[in-house]
Amino acid sequence: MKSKGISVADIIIYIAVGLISLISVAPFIYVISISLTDPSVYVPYKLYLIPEKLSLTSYSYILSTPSFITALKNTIIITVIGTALNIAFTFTMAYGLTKKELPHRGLIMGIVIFTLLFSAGIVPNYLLVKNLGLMNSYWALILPALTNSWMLIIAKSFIDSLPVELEESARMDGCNEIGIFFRIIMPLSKASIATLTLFFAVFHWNTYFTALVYMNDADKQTLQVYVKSLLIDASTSGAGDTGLADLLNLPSETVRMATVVLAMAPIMAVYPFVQRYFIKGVMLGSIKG
Amino acid sequence: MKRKFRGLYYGVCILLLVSVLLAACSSNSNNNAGNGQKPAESSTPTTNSTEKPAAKDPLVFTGMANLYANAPAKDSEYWKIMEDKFNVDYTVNWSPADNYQEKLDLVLASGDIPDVMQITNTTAPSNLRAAKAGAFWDLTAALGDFSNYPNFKKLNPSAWVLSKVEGKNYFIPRTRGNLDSALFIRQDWLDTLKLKTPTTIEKFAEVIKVIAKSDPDGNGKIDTIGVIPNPGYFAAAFGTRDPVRDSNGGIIHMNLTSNYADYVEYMRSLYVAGAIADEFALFTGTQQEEMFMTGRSATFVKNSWHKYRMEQETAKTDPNADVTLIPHLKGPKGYAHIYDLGYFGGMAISKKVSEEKMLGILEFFNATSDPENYNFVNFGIEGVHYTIVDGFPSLTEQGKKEVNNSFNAPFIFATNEFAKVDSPLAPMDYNLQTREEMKELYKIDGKVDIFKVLQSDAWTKEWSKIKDEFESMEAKAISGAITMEEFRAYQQKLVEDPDIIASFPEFAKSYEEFFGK
Amino acid sequence: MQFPAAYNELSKPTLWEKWKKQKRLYHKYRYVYPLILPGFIFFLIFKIAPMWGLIFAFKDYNPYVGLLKSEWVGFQNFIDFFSNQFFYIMFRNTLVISLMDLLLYFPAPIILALLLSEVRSEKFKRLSQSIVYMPHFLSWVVISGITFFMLSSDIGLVNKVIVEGGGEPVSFLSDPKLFWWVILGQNTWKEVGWGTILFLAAISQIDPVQYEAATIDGANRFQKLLNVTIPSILPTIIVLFILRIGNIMDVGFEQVLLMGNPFVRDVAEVFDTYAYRQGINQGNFSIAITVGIFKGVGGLIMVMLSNHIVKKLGHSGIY
Repeated sequence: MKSKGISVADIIIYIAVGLISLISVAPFIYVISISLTDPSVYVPYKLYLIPEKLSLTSYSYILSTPSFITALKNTIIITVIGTALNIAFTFTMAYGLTKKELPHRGLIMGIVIFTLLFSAGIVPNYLLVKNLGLMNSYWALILPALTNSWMLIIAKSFIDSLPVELEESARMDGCNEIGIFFRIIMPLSKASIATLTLFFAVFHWNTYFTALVYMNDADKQTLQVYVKSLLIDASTSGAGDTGLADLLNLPSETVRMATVVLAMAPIMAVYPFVQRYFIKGVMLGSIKG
Repeated sequence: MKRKFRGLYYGVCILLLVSVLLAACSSNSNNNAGNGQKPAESSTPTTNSTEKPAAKDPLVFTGMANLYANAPAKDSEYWKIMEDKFNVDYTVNWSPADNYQEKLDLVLASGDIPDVMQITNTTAPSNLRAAKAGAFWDLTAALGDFSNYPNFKKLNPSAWVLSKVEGKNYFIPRTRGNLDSALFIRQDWLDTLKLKTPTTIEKFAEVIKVIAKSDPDGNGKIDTIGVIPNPGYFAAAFGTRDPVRDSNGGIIHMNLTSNYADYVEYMRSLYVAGAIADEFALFTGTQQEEMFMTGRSATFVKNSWHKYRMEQETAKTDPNADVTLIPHLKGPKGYAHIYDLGYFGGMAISKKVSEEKMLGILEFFNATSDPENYNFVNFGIEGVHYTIVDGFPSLTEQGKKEVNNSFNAPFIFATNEFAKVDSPLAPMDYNLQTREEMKELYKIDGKVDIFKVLQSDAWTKEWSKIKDEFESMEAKAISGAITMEEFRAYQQKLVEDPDIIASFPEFAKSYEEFFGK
Repeated sequence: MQFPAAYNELSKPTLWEKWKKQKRLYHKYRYVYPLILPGFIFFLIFKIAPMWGLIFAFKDYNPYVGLLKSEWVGFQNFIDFFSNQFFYIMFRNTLVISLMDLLLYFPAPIILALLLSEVRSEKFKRLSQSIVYMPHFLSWVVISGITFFMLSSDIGLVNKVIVEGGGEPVSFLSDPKLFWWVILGQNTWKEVGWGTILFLAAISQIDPVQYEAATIDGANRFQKLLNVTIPSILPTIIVLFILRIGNIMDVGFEQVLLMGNPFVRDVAEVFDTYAYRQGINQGNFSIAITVGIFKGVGGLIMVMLSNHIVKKLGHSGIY
């Protein structure tokens, strides 16, 4: 576009963004550094920006632990299936709710808002999952989270911002709402779909408490449950000093940091794939004519 | 993302994913080699095992136990050997150790209780409530005088006594010896500063003040922390292990006694002298340990089996590091020490199982508590997970990856007097040495912390409300944000609170149930 | 049966006519219901059906006699909760942390999103976008460990630097006056980058034609920001604001739990930590539900209020 050269505003923007980026990434460098340090030389509370003695032992240790791989596999499956279903259930309902004259819309919105603010707590949900026979299965983590009010409202807000003329022109072409949904709304909602995909994926990836409650097999653990068990702190594990805190083989800090890195890396890798959907606009020329 | 970079990025991601999966596959095949073949069939063996002359059907039951990262799967070699050996069909629901009590509460509340449950804290209020409401079998009658259960008889006797609820045994205790934690101190610093290892509280205070004011690690800064307040260890020196009675014969919780205030005052004097870290109250257990490991702290309190590891770790920053254990320090009204209860949680049997099954389960646990089975239950399969070195189990590479506290979580096992003293990493003669050091504890009149055992509903209810406030006042008293008079006045206020007064007779009654008058 | 249109104008709508209108709408939107149905069924089964659990707040739940036979205590749990000597502290702390978050944190991702969208260099923009969202993925356990390493007055890096420079160590983590700022700082650091995503998505949907029109009108960069960008993302901002207000009594539970310590207990005690400890200590589910209802009612009032105000100002709310 304009190439007037760099203005003062630009410099300020670069500096601000640069600083924020630096602060965001610094602790990661620390964590990654520790994870790559040889355990025999690692000492806590030193500022590691570069590993003192580069070593991949911590990583190879974890990757050769079957539990980690299984936990990773479980989480990937739950995330992929869960997110796909999330998008389906959320956007269909969100689109439907944008129709302001829909009969009983008030009731449905009321339910949505109510569930946004009130939750019945863990016991009824536990019993429900149990009675539906979902215990110890992936579905226990997927079905109760098919959609939620917060995401619904966001999706609805995005769909609302699409121009009304689009639907009208499609209606004139003889499309009903279902057709409009698949042929117009979804293709034009790439930015919000990408955004919510990211949100849902991260949500599933980070599942901890529900996984703890609904899974009974060690090999159905999700990644975060596994990671947490490695990060247990001796005095904060809720049961006081009943001997619970004594792990026979407490992994060293380097291994714990490597686990943290490995637990974050896959989901962070998803971001660049979706990033392009909300960098450039997608709206060019869709209304003209 | 630019086209060619995108392709590169996809390629790298796929490469990483493939290498991770390859690592997984290769490790799995390694494990298969170690584990033997995984049988294709599922796990209910109804065929007669050829060892037993009379074919008895295996006892089928479910359980719930702590999960620490890994746990033996139902179809793993270890588990199959175990089921075969004891003739059971035991299915365990593994629940992460962190937040275990929450899941247990949920399970108890939903009524869908497994046959057997590991109870991590037998005095947790919800577990007590469950026991009293009849969720668990009362085992007292079945146990009787233990003539049917010789291995139970050999378990640490204090464990059977102290794990009772209202005089009844609902839990089979998971036992260990009474020797557990001690005060760790940097011996090399004592030597450098020409200080003698302290034997009394007063001498300890002197020594620690000197250390804090000097530069024992030679880094040119006066930044060494002497000690971090630990009431579990130190308060006993001021008489907190002895019951303090009110005028009606009720027992006042030790936190509200002037003995405890004396302990706080002692710590205050250390703080004033600069021997305590400024922000001591926010250090987690791991952070305290790391302080010691990195040579910033002269002492800390931990299970004695960590001594070996501490020496290795401190040597990283200072090759001259030397660690000594101080199992006790003499104080004005007792010894500062930690005398373990001898058990850490236990197993409960759900009342919903039949009496026959309950007895079968007791037999099972009696069998696993045979001292012969101790290694198996704790360390896994000999030759695969561990080998015997100098008469002591030492974990193999596979053992180090697979074996952790999840292994013994679903079982009861024999009492190991030195369970918390022997280090699995250290050579046997090192452990024998540590045992001798810890046995010093037997020479004094070691007392358990009675408030880990005594039960009072009123106290539980009130304490859950005021615990944070109390800890806050204590921290402020030590740091000087409030005066000792204010702290004692605060204690007095609590002692006069009717809701708390309700707990005194309950404690007295509980004391009588456990220890007699 | 068709009534002539004029007939409807002459009389007030009768029940029959209302039903006719309704039927017409049902017919008009007949394809919309299938779209809503899956989500709606989900809500019924997994969100509404478990609501029976709200009864926990009105009973003294004893799992061994079951919910039906447990003693009915009416509002006693609520009364206990409100008359708890620490209620005021919890309320104040919750409100302060939440309001600080709303007023000080909330604008941050918006500003950062705008900054990012104004970066000229594509490469720099993509790079920084890919970096600033990273802190969101670190767990609070790790973050509190790093915070300790940085801010501890005994061994913290920041204090080391201060001391080298001749100053006195600052008790970032144990000074009650600083606790709320530490919480705010941590949360901002962790979430500001991630929070830009929604706004960036909204910005990406702005029709470039509008910018062109603004250029033609002679607008400079800043004016374009003010008159095109911000108004276009205003609906998103409003929706997020109202949603946030609905959670006014939620503060980052895990964060506050981990960062809390005896020194700062007076400023760190919030409803969630209280309910958690009560629940853990006593397996007492009633308390958690009681607190949940209290928070929900508060949130509902705030949502209704803010939605109403927003609509009065001419914008669309969330319903």
